[in-house]
Amino acid sequence: MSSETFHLTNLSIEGFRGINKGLKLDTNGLSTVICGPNGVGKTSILQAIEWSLYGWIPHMKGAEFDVEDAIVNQFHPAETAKVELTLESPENRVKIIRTRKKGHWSRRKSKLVVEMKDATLKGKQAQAKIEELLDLTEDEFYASKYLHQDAIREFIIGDLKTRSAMMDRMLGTYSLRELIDSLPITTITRRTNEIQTQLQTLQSTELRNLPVARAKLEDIKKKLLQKGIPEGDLDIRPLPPLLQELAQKVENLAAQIGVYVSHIETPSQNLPALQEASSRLRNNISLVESERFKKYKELSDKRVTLTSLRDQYKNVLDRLKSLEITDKETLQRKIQEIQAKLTEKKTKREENRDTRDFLQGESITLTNLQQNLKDLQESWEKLISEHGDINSVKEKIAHLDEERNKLRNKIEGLETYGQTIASALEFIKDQKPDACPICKRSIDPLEIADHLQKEISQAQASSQILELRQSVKKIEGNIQKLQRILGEMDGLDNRLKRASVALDEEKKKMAEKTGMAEIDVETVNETLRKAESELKGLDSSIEELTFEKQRLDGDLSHLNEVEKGLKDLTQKIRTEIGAEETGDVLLRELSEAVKKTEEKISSFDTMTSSLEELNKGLMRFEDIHAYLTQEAEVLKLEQEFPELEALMRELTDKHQRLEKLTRGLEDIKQAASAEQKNVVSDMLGEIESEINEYYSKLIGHTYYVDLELSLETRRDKNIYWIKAKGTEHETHVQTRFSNAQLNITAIAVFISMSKHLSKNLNLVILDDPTQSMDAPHKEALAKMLADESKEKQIILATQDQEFQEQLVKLVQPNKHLKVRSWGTEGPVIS
Amino acid sequence: MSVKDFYELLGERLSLRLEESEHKTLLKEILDWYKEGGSKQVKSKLLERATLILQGLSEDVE
Repeated sequence: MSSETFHLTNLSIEGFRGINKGLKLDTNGLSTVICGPNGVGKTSILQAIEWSLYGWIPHMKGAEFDVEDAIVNQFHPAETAKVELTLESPENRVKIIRTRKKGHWSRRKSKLVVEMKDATLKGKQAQAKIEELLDLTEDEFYASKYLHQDAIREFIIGDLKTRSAMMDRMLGTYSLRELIDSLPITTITRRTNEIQTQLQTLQSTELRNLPVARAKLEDIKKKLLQKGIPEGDLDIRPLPPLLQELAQKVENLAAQIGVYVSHIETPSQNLPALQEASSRLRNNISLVESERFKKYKELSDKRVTLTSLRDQYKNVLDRLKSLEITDKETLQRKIQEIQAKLTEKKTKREENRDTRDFLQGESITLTNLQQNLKDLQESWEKLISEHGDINSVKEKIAHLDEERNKLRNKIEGLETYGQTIASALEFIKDQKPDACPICKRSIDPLEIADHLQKEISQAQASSQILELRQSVKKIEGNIQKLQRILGEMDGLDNRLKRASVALDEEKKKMAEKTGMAEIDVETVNETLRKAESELKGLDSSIEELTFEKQRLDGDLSHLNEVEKGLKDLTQKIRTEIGAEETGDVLLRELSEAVKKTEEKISSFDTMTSSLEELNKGLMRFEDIHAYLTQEAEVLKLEQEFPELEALMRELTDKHQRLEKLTRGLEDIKQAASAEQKNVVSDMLGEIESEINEYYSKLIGHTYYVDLELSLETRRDKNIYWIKAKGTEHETHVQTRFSNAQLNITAIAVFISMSKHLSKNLNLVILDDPTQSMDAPHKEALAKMLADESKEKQIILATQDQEFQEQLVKLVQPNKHLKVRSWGTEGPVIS
Repeated sequence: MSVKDFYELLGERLSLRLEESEHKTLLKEILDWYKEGGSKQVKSKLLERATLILQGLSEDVE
């Protein structure tokens, strides 16, 4: 194991990650600050160091890195990554050259050359040499030399096993951990358990087989004796002839049924041959049984079919016989005749109905006309008897008219006289003549006037005129009355004439229609009664004919139905029994077929008992065979038993030896674990104070001011916890610390570890360590790193301007690399 | 401390924690293998021993 202390002096990068064209960094072993904005290739420079040493960048995890090469720069013309790293110690100079052609993924595949003063190594040898010179594994490098933020946080909050291994490295107890881990206790225990299972299986199955088989043999024997099989029959010798006898019987039955079964020869006198023969016999019996059942079912079905056909056929024949006319044509003719009569009767009935309806109407009309005429005649006679005939009335009217005229003349004369006197009076009064104008005699006007005045008064007031006027009025009343009677007589006379004419016309019409010589209501009614009587006769006759026709139609339909059924049935029966006959002959043949089928069924019934006997015989054979088979099994197990016992002994021995080895390993593991705890408990305090020194410098947590490391055994493994303690409380840092506090914890543990792990590589790489930190923490970190740089080379990348200025000022001497920007040719250095 | 010293010391310290002499012998064997070929050698040798037992052979085959 080497104990040289190396520093990084030169780094040359080309075609790697964000670096295309060659980039050289000559540190001369001094601490180096690489600064610049985000995304200019600072991390690529740091990753080049880790890749050159171990050929892998562990943070490249995920499916994307499996489908794309993230190592080789995308713009490099030769598609090749090459990193040359020079490490120098006071005694040695080692140049590490790692190259890689662009591939399809980012996994390990690179060429490594290590050039030393006295040798050049390649591949695995070269890799082994790096680890030997630096005394640093890959895991340890990431835990103590390269502080990548994600990596250190993973160390703090990630895999317990890795963390614990690192701690053991720091504490010098890694050998004990490795020793414990190398003991294959689980594998050996699993194999021990497999042996144990085999032993248990043997004990629970094969070793138990013999007693179980013996018990089973006794059980079978007991049951056979109970079944009445004598002990003497439990012998293989009578079995072959017994089986042959049974086989022959089965063949005979098969021949009866009409099924082929394989012939069975007399078997040899050994159990497998007998077993095989009995299986074949069992198959033959099954075949015969199956065929017998099938045929029995067929016969039963046939019997049902034939019986049903027979009953149906008999029924149809009986129905046919029950019909009055069995000849279809006669029946149809008869129906046609009845139909013709029916049509004729119905026509006649219609005619009679018309006549009856006419007579009914005429009877009423005649009656009315005659009654009307009679009423008119009675009225006429009454008038005649009261007033005389028309001429007599006319004469009375003429006489009265004459009398009235006379009276009117008389009244007129009286009235003219009065008017003349009045005129004379008026004249006298006006003229007052003293002589008569006519006779010229002298007159006294006054006297004459008085006289005329008296005369007028007498004439005008005369009752004579009044009486005359009364008489005129009376005569006029009589005239009017007689004129009215005369009008009535004229009207009645007219009506009588019209009624007579109407009656005559009606009678004439009826005579024309009926041909009756004499027409009157009585004869008409008599004719009507006759017509109604005839109609009743026709109705009755039609009803009878209709009934008869319906009956015959029914018979015809029935006949058709029976004939059709008969035809179908006859066809079915003929097909079923293969006959050609019809009617009763066919029925007899069908009955005969039913009888034969029943006889066959009966013969199958007797076959059932034969098969039962055969089954019993075969079961007896099989019982004896089972006994003999079990007896043979017992014999075989008795022969095998010593071998099984030997196997048990061998397995028991192996099991004991494996258990002994496991116990020893468990004991050693317990001892190593106890020793590890013992050593660790002494050293943890020292490590803790160192970590806390850094934690304090970096202003860790205001309450949890101390970190505590502890070792616990968990699931048979010794693991380390990192806790933070305050005055009263403590906590696992992962549960309560902020990101900045976790980073500070990580940096404190990391720097402490870097002191203990591999002092051969005096180098610490930090990538952007100030993330999430405020100004006081950054200043504290810069001061701490400045102190550390006095003892070890620090290579640090940061984008924080303020932090890098503090660093450059505090870390002396140093190299300062300013990266301005990035292009496809790589970082642009100021 | 030389390599030999470290393993001897480790053997002595662990032996003190073991009671059975057979286990002490086994520890010595394991530490020899560890010194020779590290943890892989230890694992390989122990599995080889288990295989020998399973084959019914002696464990002392070297």
